[in-house]
Amino acid sequence: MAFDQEEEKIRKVLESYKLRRPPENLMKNYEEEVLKKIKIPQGFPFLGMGISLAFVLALLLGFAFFFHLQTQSLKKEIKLSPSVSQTVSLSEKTKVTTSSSEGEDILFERMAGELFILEMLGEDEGILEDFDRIEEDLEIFPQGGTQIWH
Amino acid sequence: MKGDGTLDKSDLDLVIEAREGKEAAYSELVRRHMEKAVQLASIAVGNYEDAKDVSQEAFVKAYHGLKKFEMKSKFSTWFYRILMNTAQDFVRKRNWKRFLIWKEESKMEEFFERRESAVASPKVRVLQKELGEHIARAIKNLPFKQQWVFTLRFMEGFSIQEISESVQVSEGTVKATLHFAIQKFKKEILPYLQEEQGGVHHGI
Repeated sequence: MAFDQEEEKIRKVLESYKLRRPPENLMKNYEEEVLKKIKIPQGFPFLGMGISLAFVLALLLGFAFFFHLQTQSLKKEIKLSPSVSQTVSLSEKTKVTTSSSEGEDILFERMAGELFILEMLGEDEGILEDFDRIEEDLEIFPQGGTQIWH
Repeated sequence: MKGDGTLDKSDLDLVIEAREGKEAAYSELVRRHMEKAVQLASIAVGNYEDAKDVSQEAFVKAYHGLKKFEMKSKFSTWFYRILMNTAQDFVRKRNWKRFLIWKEESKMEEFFERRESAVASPKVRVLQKELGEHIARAIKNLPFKQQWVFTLRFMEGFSIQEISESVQVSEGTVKATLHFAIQKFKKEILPYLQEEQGGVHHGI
Protein backbone atom coordinates (compact mmCIF):
# COMPACT_ATOMS: atom_id res chain seq x y z
CA MET A 1 0.00 0.00 0.00
CA ALA A 2 1.35 3.46 -0.87
CA PHE A 3 2.70 5.57 1.95
CA ASP A 4 0.20 8.39 1.38
CA GLN A 5 -2.76 6.00 1.39
CA GLU A 6 -1.61 4.40 4.61
CA GLU A 7 -1.19 7.78 6.23
CA GLU A 8 -4.63 8.84 5.11
CA LYS A 9 -6.21 5.80 6.74
CA ILE A 10 -4.45 6.37 10.03
CA ARG A 11 -5.48 10.00 9.91
CA LYS A 12 -9.08 8.92 9.36
CA VAL A 13 -8.97 6.71 12.47
CA LEU A 14 -7.39 9.41 14.58
CA GLU A 15 -9.38 12.37 13.29
CA SER A 16 -12.10 11.92 15.89
CA TYR A 17 -9.58 11.89 18.76
CA LYS A 18 -7.61 14.81 20.06
CA LEU A 19 -5.08 15.24 22.83
CA ARG A 20 -6.72 16.13 26.11
CA ARG A 21 -5.81 19.49 27.66
CA PRO A 22 -3.54 19.08 30.69
CA PRO A 23 -5.31 19.61 34.06
CA GLU A 24 -5.66 23.30 34.92
CA ASN A 25 -4.14 23.01 38.40
CA LEU A 26 -1.03 21.48 36.82
CA MET A 27 -0.57 24.44 34.50
CA LYS A 28 -1.08 27.02 37.22
CA ASN A 29 2.05 29.19 37.70
CA TYR A 30 3.79 27.22 34.95
CA GLU A 31 5.58 30.23 33.43
CA GLU A 32 6.65 31.59 36.82
CA GLU A 33 8.12 28.20 37.73
CA VAL A 34 10.08 28.10 34.48
CA LEU A 35 11.47 31.61 35.07
CA LYS A 36 12.40 30.62 38.62
CA LYS A 37 14.23 27.54 37.34
CA ILE A 38 16.07 29.64 34.77
CA LYS A 39 17.43 31.86 37.54
CA ILE A 40 18.76 28.91 39.54
CA PRO A 41 22.50 28.55 38.82
CA GLN A 42 23.12 25.66 36.49
CA GLY A 43 25.93 24.24 38.63
CA PHE A 44 29.15 22.92 37.22
CA PRO A 45 28.56 22.04 33.57
CA PHE A 46 30.88 19.01 33.61
CA LEU A 47 29.87 17.74 37.04
CA GLY A 48 27.84 14.86 35.60
CA MET A 49 30.68 13.82 33.33
CA GLY A 50 33.12 14.01 36.25
CA ILE A 51 30.92 11.79 38.37
CA SER A 52 30.65 9.26 35.52
CA LEU A 53 34.43 9.24 35.06
CA ALA A 54 34.99 8.77 38.79
CA PHE A 55 32.53 5.87 38.76
CA VAL A 56 34.27 4.19 35.81
CA LEU A 57 37.68 4.69 37.47
CA ALA A 58 36.40 3.18 40.71
CA LEU A 59 35.00 0.23 38.78
CA LEU A 60 38.33 -0.34 37.00
CA LEU A 61 40.22 -0.17 40.31
CA GLY A 62 37.75 -2.65 41.75
CA PHE A 63 38.35 -5.06 38.88
CA ALA A 64 42.11 -4.63 39.15
CA PHE A 65 41.98 -5.37 42.87
CA PHE A 66 39.73 -8.37 42.29
CA PHE A 67 42.05 -9.87 39.65
CA HIS A 68 45.04 -9.17 41.87
CA LEU A 69 43.38 -11.15 44.65
CA GLN A 70 42.54 -13.96 42.24
CA THR A 71 46.16 -14.19 41.06
CA GLN A 72 47.43 -14.16 44.64
CA SER A 73 45.12 -17.01 45.66
CA LEU A 74 46.15 -19.04 42.60
CA LYS A 75 49.84 -18.57 43.47
CA LYS A 76 49.16 -19.66 47.04
CA GLU A 77 47.38 -22.77 45.81
CA ILE A 78 50.35 -23.68 43.63
CA LYS A 79 52.81 -23.02 46.44
CA LEU A 80 50.87 -25.37 48.68
CA SER A 81 52.23 -28.31 46.72
CA PRO A 82 55.94 -28.31 47.40
CA SER A 83 56.35 -31.67 45.70
CA VAL A 84 55.51 -30.33 42.25
CA SER A 85 58.07 -27.55 42.37
CA GLN A 86 60.93 -29.94 43.01
CA THR A 87 62.94 -31.71 40.36
CA VAL A 88 62.24 -35.35 40.86
CA SER A 89 62.75 -38.51 38.94
CA LEU A 90 60.05 -39.77 36.61
CA SER A 91 58.99 -42.50 38.99
CA GLU A 92 58.84 -40.11 41.90
CA LYS A 93 56.96 -37.59 39.81
CA THR A 94 54.34 -40.13 38.87
CA LYS A 95 54.00 -40.86 42.51
CA VAL A 96 53.70 -37.20 43.37
CA THR A 97 51.06 -36.52 40.78
CA THR A 98 48.94 -39.47 41.73
CA SER A 99 49.20 -38.91 45.47
CA SER A 100 48.21 -35.28 45.14
CA SER A 101 48.43 -32.79 47.94
CA GLU A 102 45.53 -30.76 49.21
CA GLY A 103 46.54 -27.76 47.09
CA GLU A 104 46.61 -29.78 43.92
CA ASP A 105 43.24 -31.26 44.72
CA ILE A 106 41.70 -27.85 45.04
CA LEU A 107 43.31 -26.61 41.84
CA PHE A 108 42.42 -29.62 39.76
CA GLU A 109 38.95 -29.89 41.15
CA ARG A 110 38.36 -26.32 40.13
CA MET A 111 39.78 -26.91 36.67
CA ALA A 112 37.76 -30.06 36.25
CA GLY A 113 34.67 -28.18 37.33
CA GLU A 114 35.28 -25.45 34.79
CA LEU A 115 35.98 -27.96 32.06
CA PHE A 116 32.76 -29.75 32.93
CA ILE A 117 30.81 -26.53 32.58
CA LEU A 118 32.51 -25.84 29.24
CA GLU A 119 31.68 -29.36 28.13
CA MET A 120 28.06 -28.86 29.10
CA LEU A 121 28.02 -25.68 27.05
CA GLY A 122 29.71 -27.41 24.14
CA GLU A 123 32.61 -24.98 24.35
CA ASP A 124 35.34 -27.41 25.31
CA GLU A 125 36.70 -28.00 21.83
CA GLY A 126 40.42 -27.22 21.74
CA ILE A 127 40.43 -26.05 25.34
CA LEU A 128 43.39 -28.26 26.26
CA GLU A 129 45.44 -27.36 23.22
CA ASP A 130 47.51 -24.79 25.03
CA PHE A 131 47.66 -26.63 28.31
CA ASP A 132 51.28 -27.69 27.81
CA ARG A 133 52.42 -24.10 27.47
CA ILE A 134 50.40 -22.92 30.49
CA GLU A 135 51.72 -25.82 32.48
CA GLU A 136 55.31 -24.83 31.66
CA ASP A 137 54.63 -21.22 32.54
CA LEU A 138 53.22 -22.16 35.89
CA GLU A 139 55.85 -24.87 36.45
CA ILE A 140 53.25 -27.29 37.59
CA PHE A 141 55.20 -30.20 36.10
CA PRO A 142 58.74 -28.96 35.61
CA GLN A 143 59.81 -31.84 33.40
CA GLY A 144 56.90 -31.58 31.05
CA GLY A 145 54.08 -33.95 30.41
CA THR A 146 50.52 -33.96 31.58
CA GLN A 147 50.69 -37.14 33.58
CA ILE A 148 47.87 -36.07 35.81
CA TRP A 149 45.44 -36.90 33.02
CA HIS A 150 46.65 -40.49 32.77
CA MET B 1 3.78 43.27 31.68
CA LYS B 2 1.56 42.49 28.73
CA GLY B 3 1.05 46.19 27.91
CA ASP B 4 4.31 46.34 25.94
CA GLY B 5 2.75 44.66 22.91
CA THR B 6 4.32 41.31 23.75
CA LEU B 7 1.11 39.53 22.87
CA ASP B 8 1.12 40.82 19.29
CA LYS B 9 4.68 39.84 18.54
CA SER B 10 5.73 36.80 16.58
CA ASP B 11 7.68 33.98 18.19
CA LEU B 12 10.85 35.06 16.42
CA ASP B 13 10.50 38.66 17.66
CA LEU B 14 10.09 37.30 21.17
CA VAL B 15 13.19 35.15 20.74
CA ILE B 16 15.21 38.25 19.78
CA GLU B 17 13.93 40.12 22.83
CA ALA B 18 14.54 37.15 25.11
CA ARG B 19 18.10 36.98 23.86
CA GLU B 20 18.48 40.59 24.94
CA GLY B 21 17.42 39.54 28.42
CA LYS B 22 13.74 40.57 28.38
CA GLU B 23 12.11 38.20 30.81
CA ALA B 24 8.57 39.09 29.70
CA ALA B 25 9.36 38.03 26.15
CA TYR B 26 10.47 34.56 27.18
CA SER B 27 7.56 34.28 29.59
CA GLU B 28 5.20 34.91 26.67
CA LEU B 29 6.98 32.28 24.56
CA VAL B 30 6.55 29.77 27.38
CA ARG B 31 2.90 30.70 27.76
CA ARG B 32 2.26 30.16 24.04
CA HIS B 33 3.87 26.72 23.89
CA MET B 34 3.50 25.27 27.38
CA GLU B 35 0.25 23.41 26.82
CA LYS B 36 1.44 21.71 23.66
CA ALA B 37 4.76 20.93 25.35
CA VAL B 38 3.05 19.18 28.26
CA GLN B 39 0.75 17.27 25.89
CA LEU B 40 3.64 16.00 23.77
CA ALA B 41 5.78 15.15 26.78
CA SER B 42 2.88 13.37 28.47
CA ILE B 43 2.64 10.85 25.63
CA ALA B 44 6.38 10.20 25.87
CA VAL B 45 6.64 9.91 29.65
CA GLY B 46 3.20 8.53 30.47
CA ASN B 47 1.84 10.99 33.04
CA TYR B 48 1.17 14.70 33.42
CA GLU B 49 3.31 15.31 36.51
CA ASP B 50 6.50 14.09 34.88
CA ALA B 51 5.46 15.72 31.61
CA LYS B 52 5.31 19.06 33.39
CA ASP B 53 8.80 18.63 34.87
CA VAL B 54 10.25 17.46 31.56
CA SER B 55 8.67 20.29 29.56
CA GLN B 56 9.82 22.91 32.09
CA GLU B 57 13.34 21.51 31.96
CA ALA B 58 13.18 21.77 28.16
CA PHE B 59 12.13 25.42 28.41
CA VAL B 60 15.05 26.12 30.73
CA LYS B 61 17.46 24.40 28.31
CA ALA B 62 15.94 26.30 25.39
CA TYR B 63 16.43 29.60 27.22
CA HIS B 64 20.10 28.88 27.83
CA GLY B 65 20.49 27.76 24.21
CA LEU B 66 18.63 30.67 22.57
CA LYS B 67 21.86 32.01 21.09
CA LYS B 68 22.33 28.76 19.21
CA PHE B 69 18.88 29.04 17.61
CA GLU B 70 19.59 30.10 14.03
CA MET B 71 16.02 31.34 13.40
CA LYS B 72 15.83 29.36 10.16
CA SER B 73 12.84 27.38 11.38
CA LYS B 74 9.88 28.11 13.64
CA PHE B 75 10.64 28.41 17.37
CA SER B 76 8.32 25.47 18.03
CA THR B 77 10.19 23.21 15.58
CA TRP B 78 13.47 23.99 17.32
CA PHE B 79 11.96 23.76 20.80
CA TYR B 80 10.33 20.37 20.14
CA ARG B 81 13.74 18.92 19.38
CA ILE B 82 14.96 20.03 22.81
CA LEU B 83 11.77 18.68 24.33
CA MET B 84 12.21 15.34 22.56
CA ASN B 85 15.80 14.96 23.79
CA THR B 86 14.84 15.93 27.33
CA ALA B 87 11.94 13.47 27.35
CA GLN B 88 14.14 10.71 25.94
CA ASP B 89 16.77 11.32 28.65
CA PHE B 90 14.05 11.19 31.27
CA VAL B 91 12.62 7.92 29.94
CA ARG B 92 16.09 6.32 29.79
CA LYS B 93 16.86 7.31 33.39
CA ARG B 94 13.48 6.08 34.57
CA ASN B 95 13.89 2.77 32.75
CA TRP B 96 17.23 2.27 34.50
CA LYS B 97 15.66 3.07 37.86
CA ARG B 98 12.83 0.63 37.15
CA PHE B 99 15.33 -2.02 36.11
CA LEU B 100 17.42 -1.50 39.22
CA ILE B 101 14.61 -1.39 41.74
CA TRP B 102 12.25 -3.66 39.84
CA LYS B 103 9.38 -1.24 39.86
CA GLU B 104 6.35 -1.90 37.74
CA GLU B 105 5.24 0.64 35.20
CA SER B 106 2.60 3.03 36.45
CA LYS B 107 -0.82 3.18 34.86
CA MET B 108 -1.03 5.31 31.79
CA GLU B 109 -3.22 8.35 32.05
CA GLU B 110 -5.93 9.18 29.55
CA PHE B 111 -4.39 11.58 27.08
CA PHE B 112 -7.00 11.39 24.37
CA GLU B 113 -10.55 12.53 24.27
CA ARG B 114 -13.08 11.88 21.61
CA ARG B 115 -14.74 14.68 19.75
CA GLU B 116 -18.30 13.87 20.77
CA SER B 117 -20.80 13.02 18.12
CA ALA B 118 -24.43 13.85 18.82
CA VAL B 119 -25.69 10.83 16.90
CA ALA B 120 -23.58 8.23 18.72
CA SER B 121 -25.50 5.83 20.95
CA PRO B 122 -24.31 5.22 24.55
CA LYS B 123 -22.98 1.80 23.54
CA VAL B 124 -21.00 3.28 20.67
CA ARG B 125 -19.66 5.98 22.99
CA VAL B 126 -18.37 3.38 25.43
CA LEU B 127 -16.69 1.51 22.60
CA GLN B 128 -15.19 4.74 21.30
CA LYS B 129 -13.84 5.59 24.74
CA GLU B 130 -12.24 2.15 24.91
CA LEU B 131 -10.80 2.62 21.47
CA GLY B 132 -9.26 5.91 22.67
CA GLU B 133 -7.50 4.00 25.45
CA HIS B 134 -6.25 1.40 22.98
CA ILE B 135 -4.99 4.13 20.67
CA ALA B 136 -3.10 5.71 23.56
CA ARG B 137 -1.58 2.34 24.49
CA ALA B 138 -0.66 1.56 20.88
CA ILE B 139 1.16 4.90 20.59
CA LYS B 140 2.80 4.39 23.97
CA ASN B 141 4.10 0.97 22.88
CA LEU B 142 5.96 2.40 19.89
CA PRO B 143 9.72 2.85 20.24
CA PHE B 144 10.54 6.38 21.44
CA LYS B 145 11.53 7.99 18.11
CA GLN B 146 8.66 6.35 16.22
CA GLN B 147 6.26 7.49 18.90
CA TRP B 148 7.51 11.08 18.69
CA VAL B 149 7.37 11.24 14.90
CA PHE B 150 3.94 9.57 14.84
CA THR B 151 2.55 12.07 17.37
CA LEU B 152 3.96 15.09 15.56
CA ARG B 153 2.52 13.85 12.29
CA PHE B 154 -0.93 12.69 13.29
CA MET B 155 -1.74 14.57 16.49
CA GLU B 156 0.04 17.85 15.75
CA GLY B 157 -0.32 17.84 11.97
CA PHE B 158 3.36 18.54 11.26
CA SER B 159 4.51 18.18 7.66
CA ILE B 160 7.26 15.68 6.82
CA GLN B 161 9.62 18.62 6.29
CA GLU B 162 8.80 20.15 9.68
CA ILE B 163 9.37 16.81 11.43
CA SER B 164 12.64 16.41 9.54
CA GLU B 165 13.79 19.85 10.76
CA SER B 166 12.63 19.21 14.28
CA VAL B 167 14.09 15.73 14.72
CA GLN B 168 17.09 16.61 12.53
CA VAL B 169 16.97 13.62 10.24
CA SER B 170 16.35 13.46 6.49
CA GLU B 171 12.82 13.42 5.11
CA GLY B 172 13.44 9.88 3.87
CA THR B 173 14.26 8.77 7.40
CA VAL B 174 11.12 10.45 8.70
CA LYS B 175 9.02 8.60 6.11
CA ALA B 176 10.69 5.29 6.92
CA THR B 177 10.19 5.87 10.66
CA LEU B 178 6.54 6.73 10.06
CA HIS B 179 6.09 3.64 7.91
CA PHE B 180 7.36 1.36 10.69
CA ALA B 181 5.29 3.23 13.27
CA ILE B 182 2.15 2.87 11.15
CA GLN B 183 2.70 -0.88 10.71
CA LYS B 184 3.04 -1.39 14.47
CA PHE B 185 0.12 0.89 15.23
CA LYS B 186 -2.10 -0.95 12.74
CA LYS B 187 -1.16 -4.31 14.21
CA GLU B 188 -2.13 -3.21 17.72
CA ILE B 189 -5.26 -1.32 16.90
CA LEU B 190 -6.86 -3.45 14.20
CA PRO B 191 -8.68 -5.93 16.49
CA TYR B 192 -10.29 -3.09 18.45
CA LEU B 193 -11.31 -1.23 15.32
CA GLN B 194 -13.11 -4.32 14.10
CA GLU B 195 -14.84 -4.63 17.47
CA GLU B 196 -15.91 -1.00 17.48
CA GLN B 197 -17.28 -1.13 13.98
CA GLY B 198 -18.94 -4.52 14.43
CA GLY B 199 -16.74 -6.09 11.81
CA VAL B 200 -16.69 -3.11 9.46
CA HIS B 201 -13.42 -1.44 10.28
CA HIS B 202 -11.89 1.69 8.84
CA GLY B 203 -10.18 -0.24 6.10
CA ILE B 204 -6.66 -0.27 7.49
